[in-house]
Amino acid sequence: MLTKEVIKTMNNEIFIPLGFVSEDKKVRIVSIKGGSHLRNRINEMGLREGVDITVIKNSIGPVIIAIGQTRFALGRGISLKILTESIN
Amino acid sequence: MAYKTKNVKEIPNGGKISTNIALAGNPNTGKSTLFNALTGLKQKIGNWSGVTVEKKEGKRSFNNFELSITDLPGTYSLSASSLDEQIARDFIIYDTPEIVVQIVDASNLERNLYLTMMLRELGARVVIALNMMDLLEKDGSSINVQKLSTEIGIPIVPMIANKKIGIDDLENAIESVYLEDQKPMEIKYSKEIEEVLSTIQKMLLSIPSIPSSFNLRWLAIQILQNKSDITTLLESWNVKSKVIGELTSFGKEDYEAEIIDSKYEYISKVTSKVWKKGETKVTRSDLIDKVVTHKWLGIPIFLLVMWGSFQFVFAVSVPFMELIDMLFGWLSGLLVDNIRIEWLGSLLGDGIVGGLGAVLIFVPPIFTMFFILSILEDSGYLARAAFVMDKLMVKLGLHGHSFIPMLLGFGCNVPAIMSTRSLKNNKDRMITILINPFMSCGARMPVFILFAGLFFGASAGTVIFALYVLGIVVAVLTAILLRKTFFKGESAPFIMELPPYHSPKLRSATIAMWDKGKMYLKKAGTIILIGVVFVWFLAAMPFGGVEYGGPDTWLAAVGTFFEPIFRPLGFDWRIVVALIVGFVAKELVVGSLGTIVGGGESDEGIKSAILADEGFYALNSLSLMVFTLLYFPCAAVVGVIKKETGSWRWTIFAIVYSTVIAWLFAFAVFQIGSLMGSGL
Repeated sequence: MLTKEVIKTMNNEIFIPLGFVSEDKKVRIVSIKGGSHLRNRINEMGLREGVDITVIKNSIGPVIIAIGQTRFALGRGISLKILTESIN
Repeated sequence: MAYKTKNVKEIPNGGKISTNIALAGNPNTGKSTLFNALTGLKQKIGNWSGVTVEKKEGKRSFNNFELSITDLPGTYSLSASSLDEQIARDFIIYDTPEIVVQIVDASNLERNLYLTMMLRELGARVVIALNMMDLLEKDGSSINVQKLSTEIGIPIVPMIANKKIGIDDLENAIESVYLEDQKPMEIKYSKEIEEVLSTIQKMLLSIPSIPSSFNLRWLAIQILQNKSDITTLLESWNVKSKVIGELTSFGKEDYEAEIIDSKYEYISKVTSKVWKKGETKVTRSDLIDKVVTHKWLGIPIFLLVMWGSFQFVFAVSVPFMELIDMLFGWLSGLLVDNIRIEWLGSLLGDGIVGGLGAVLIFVPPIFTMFFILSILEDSGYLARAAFVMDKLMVKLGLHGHSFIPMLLGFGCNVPAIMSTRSLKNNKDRMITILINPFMSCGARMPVFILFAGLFFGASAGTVIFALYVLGIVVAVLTAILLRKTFFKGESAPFIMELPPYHSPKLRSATIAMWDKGKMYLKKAGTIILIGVVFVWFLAAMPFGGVEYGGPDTWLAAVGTFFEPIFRPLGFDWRIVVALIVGFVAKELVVGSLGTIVGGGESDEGIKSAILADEGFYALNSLSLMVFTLLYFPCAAVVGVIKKETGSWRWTIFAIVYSTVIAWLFAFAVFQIGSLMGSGL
């Protein structure tokens, strides 16, 4: 499948769109693409550059992520605009 | 506006201190739990001025304080990017509550403190209720409450609101802030921003049309963030071009991102000293979510939950419905038989008691429906339902968030349309509002239960289910149509917080059921009462000699006039009248048929009268149900559409479109049915 390939190349470039991060992986937000209005609103909800998140579920439909004890569902579209790097 | 700094107050000797406070907080922090714990049943639900957003107020007394508490909408910020945020912000600015109690989720300190910063910047005096302290240990985190309080200069009360722990301390903190005042706090921004701020502030100061009570620093910060409603405000003071010109001389139009960052930087600096972050652990909620939102299991589980809810609603309400039916039947008969003045007996018995009885009988299922919806919401499942439906909703050009108002529409379209206020994208919101009336509300159920029960026997349940599905299908098609025509464009990105699962609280579900159900009772007592009396009047006029509800009455004249339009749907003048009266409220379709057909004293009476009548049979009852499902949303819904869309054009569209669609579908049902000679 195409998506697998994308993950691979993205992996080499370090930045992985959130939508391609596999379940139970912990990543750090490095950049949020998109218009400033969208970015500001997301920032205000606590999704910001430098914040660590854990992907709880990522199969079909929205992605579920965890920041501390908070859980967010993010639609496919937005999950591809959030770039992350893996942390270990 | 904004806050005047208060001096130390003295408690008047033995006197009561009446003061108003507001309750603010992020969504899912336990705000309503705290509100209920503080006010108990002393609550009043109204609307925020100008918009039909639910406004909850309550009272609490302690020591010599008498608090009036206003529950603000749950928001992440006060940047007014949604209606909710705007309402919360404007309340603090214009209604100047003495104190704002902000409920903070202890396990998500940073994001919650962001709202605190905004409240303080605005000039509100804040007390923090640090809730869910019991959850801190779970992930191994800890907060040095004392130190945090000193750092930000705000009293902080650790609480476990759902166990009512910490309420006394909260009262004490409110008292001490009220008496001792709170030092104003300013967040320092970067040198560049501060420079722009002071220039703008100076300029604002020199403009006489700005009220002196305005918090100019706050206003300047809003201007830097290029907020559209602030621009409108500037326009009203005739200073817009001057201020904007000043701003662009700095070579930048929008500092919002930097301002947000600065606030978070400040917060991080503070929290790094007092907060030990825990590890994110996979919780029980996460495990449940893996099943509930599973790609194959998600939708079946959703359907099962819905089916179970409907079963529950009917199982619980049927005994009560029978009881109410018996009671009203008895009362109506008593009045008609015993009041000697014939017309008065008929008005009270046939008209008022008969008509109201036909409507009040649906109080049990409607209350139960609200109860279940509240349980689903409290437990956290409603957010998952939105999640599961997101994929489907995306195909309609909407997203999962729009699904919640649709679901609420099964209860009543009025609160459902109000709930669209949390949608941030206006086009999404318009579509969600305009398709909502097709979601079959509780008021249409009486018509379905009556006719499906009479003519479809064992398959009545299937018929009713099919009607609900038809409503959804029409809503879906309408959404696609609107997205492709009037509301072109991308839908807003889908971001939704998933609250952890809770076992729902019986108490809060009961309060919610009563609050919302009350609206229905009020409707029965006012608009529906007027409606039934009006029908009775037309059915009895002209006085003397005409048979009540017979073909010589004024009612018949109205119905006969419109009958030609409806003949292709299989309706005679009586059904036409009932449908016209149904404009007011759809419950009245049954209520007025009861009046017209006779035997309106009880449900059983209407049933036998309809069965004995040649004007009603399976096929036209089916097209009647389809028409009732889809046509003109009731008066209350039309009112709320007007208020929420702010447009007569779209309100009229909703009326005309739904009625034309209803006619077409009912026409198709009746004509195809007739052609097939299906023996219906």
